[in-house]
Amino acid sequence: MAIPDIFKQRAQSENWDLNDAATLTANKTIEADVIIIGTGAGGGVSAEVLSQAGLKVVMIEEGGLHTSDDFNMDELEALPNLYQEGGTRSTKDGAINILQGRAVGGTTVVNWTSSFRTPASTLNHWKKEHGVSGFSPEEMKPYFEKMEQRLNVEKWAMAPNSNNDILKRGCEKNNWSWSVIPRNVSGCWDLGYCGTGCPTNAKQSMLVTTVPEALKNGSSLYYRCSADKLVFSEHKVESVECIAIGKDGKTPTGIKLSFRAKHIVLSGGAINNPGLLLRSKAPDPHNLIGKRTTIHPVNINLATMPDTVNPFYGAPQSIYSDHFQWPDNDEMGFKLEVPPIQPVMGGQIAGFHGVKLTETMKNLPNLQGTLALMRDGFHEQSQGGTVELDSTGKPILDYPITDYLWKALRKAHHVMAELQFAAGAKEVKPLHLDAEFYKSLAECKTAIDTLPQELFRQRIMTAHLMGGCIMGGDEQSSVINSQGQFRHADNLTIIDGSAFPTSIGANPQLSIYALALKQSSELANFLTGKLAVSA
Amino acid sequence: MYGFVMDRRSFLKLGFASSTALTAVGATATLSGCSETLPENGDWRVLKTQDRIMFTAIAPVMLKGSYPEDPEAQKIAIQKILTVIDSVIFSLGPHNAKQMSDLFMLLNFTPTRGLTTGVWSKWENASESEIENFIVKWRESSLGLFNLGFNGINQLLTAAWYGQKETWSDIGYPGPPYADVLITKKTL
Repeated sequence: MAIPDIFKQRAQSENWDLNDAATLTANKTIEADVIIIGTGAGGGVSAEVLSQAGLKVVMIEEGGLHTSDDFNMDELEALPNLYQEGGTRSTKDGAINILQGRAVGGTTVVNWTSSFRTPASTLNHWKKEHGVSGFSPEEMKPYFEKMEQRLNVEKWAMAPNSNNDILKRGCEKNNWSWSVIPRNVSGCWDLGYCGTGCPTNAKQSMLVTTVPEALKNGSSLYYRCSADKLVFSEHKVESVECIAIGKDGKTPTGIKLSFRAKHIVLSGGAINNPGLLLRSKAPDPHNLIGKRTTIHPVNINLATMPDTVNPFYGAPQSIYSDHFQWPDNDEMGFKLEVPPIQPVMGGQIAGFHGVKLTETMKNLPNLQGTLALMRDGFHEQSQGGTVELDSTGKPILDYPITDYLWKALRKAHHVMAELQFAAGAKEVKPLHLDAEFYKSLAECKTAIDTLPQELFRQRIMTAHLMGGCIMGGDEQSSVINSQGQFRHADNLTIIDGSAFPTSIGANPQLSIYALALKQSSELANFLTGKLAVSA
Repeated sequence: MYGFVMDRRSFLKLGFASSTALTAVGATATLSGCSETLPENGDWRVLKTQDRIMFTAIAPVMLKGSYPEDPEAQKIAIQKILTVIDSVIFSLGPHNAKQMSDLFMLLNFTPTRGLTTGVWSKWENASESEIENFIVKWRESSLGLFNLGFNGINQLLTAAWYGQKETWSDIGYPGPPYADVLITKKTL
């Protein structure tokens, strides 16, 4: 209570129109100028921009409304409230764990605040390989600048925590480049609990920035309201049919909500966007919806350090290295960062049981984690995964792990071991069921070369979901055009990370913010009949 | 140290036999009406009695060294663990929920449990070494589905256990900082 819950306070003083669909007792039809499905990085920014243009905006969110009073730095409390499928979402075969947010504010409520501009190489690749227009580094610069200003993105000025400092030290010892991560925080307490919802409202997530601004501008929010189907007529979305979800976050209450508007913005994220379109039998003559879903596959090394690390405290990510991001050969590049390790995460990733698990967990204060974010989607042998529907109509991601990806995962284990031993690690364990903590770099590298590259034995995770509704210049190979417009309905625009034709090669939130600012500004001009203005 | 562990070849054969057995057990259980479809206890959203007995048996082995040995402390511990697992399984999407339900059926029907885990006695009567053998077998199996099964049970139990603040002092985790200022929930 010592920290004011600014969302709740403003909701009351500014008389926001908040609607908990779980409590509705009768079906409802709602009309607006624009319906925005999803309140994460894409939907939040779009809601702010479109409401500022004077449009009546209604935001739909499947997750619940949880604000700073609800954020208690508790993993077991946060997982069911703030994550898709309670943090248990996975790829179809179960080989990759998926961490994705599900709440008002979307994944921005639980991400670790790393805020990178889309690399120029990625933007140039989109133009060259996917015919994307308007996204050159020069054209995007003003949008990055505006969003950095809006969300207070700055390089972390405090000292990195030990977990991150070890990444820095390891890079320095090996003569690898590294840099400080820009973060979207204002008055950050350096706590380390970004992943369970920021208890101090320092993180400039959509929950405390754009969604409140849109509500102040007279927008409405319907939460625990799940978009079930878009009703398509000839080249138009007639309505968005939703079902109310009960307070348990899962069970439909039986109440239906129907939303109608001149224009629909789809911002439900990769996986859920293609899911909704497939469920709605959206026109898809070239069978592209759900294809090219990229995820930045992540592998991890754990190290035991001689000194206390306390990997559960302090800004989770403040140092990164792109030394291996853009290799000269055609191998998959990767970004090096660290994961915060709190008890639940630590226990789950260790991959041990019994006494070995207990001994590893007793060592938690001395553990350091290093992770590699694989830059997928840039090579013919890395085309991403495919979102399909399961027998109940829910989306599920089928993500193949190709030899090309296996090769990069192995290389990253080597690189991370080199980094951790250079930084003084006593022992290092690549996260794999067949791996132990190895006492020397040589022993560790020998092991890495022989670890079987098998699903379920190699630990792979993702927290970045991209693609599946990709933009591009050619109708035969893209779901939306470079303005985000769905190719088979005039009043449907897709604005979020699902538009990316490849992965980003960096934590994607700022890429989504900038894309959303660009696309929604153009849409606002179109809908209000104003001439296009430059950002 | 772990006693009898099958070699990969014979376990592979067993794997095929058991997946056939699993299909059969599903059909038999459904036809004979012995498939327990609803939890009989209103406090549990998903977990059935047999599932709870199974986790009660596996937890002390999976978490050996950290799990309490005193029977009274165990009762409290398992109640907390089961509450979390029940909530996690409730959150599963339909695809993973089906997988988990198949897994529990396999582990709770004696023929399939015996074939795939080597635990032929009921869970409540299984010895520590039997359960340890099962865990190691599934972890080491060349059949991915058993690795997946190990990962699932392992992650459920580790999350449910290390999420409990009672375990934190043993692992050197002082808990969330500024708790008196920043934690606004009522204490459980």
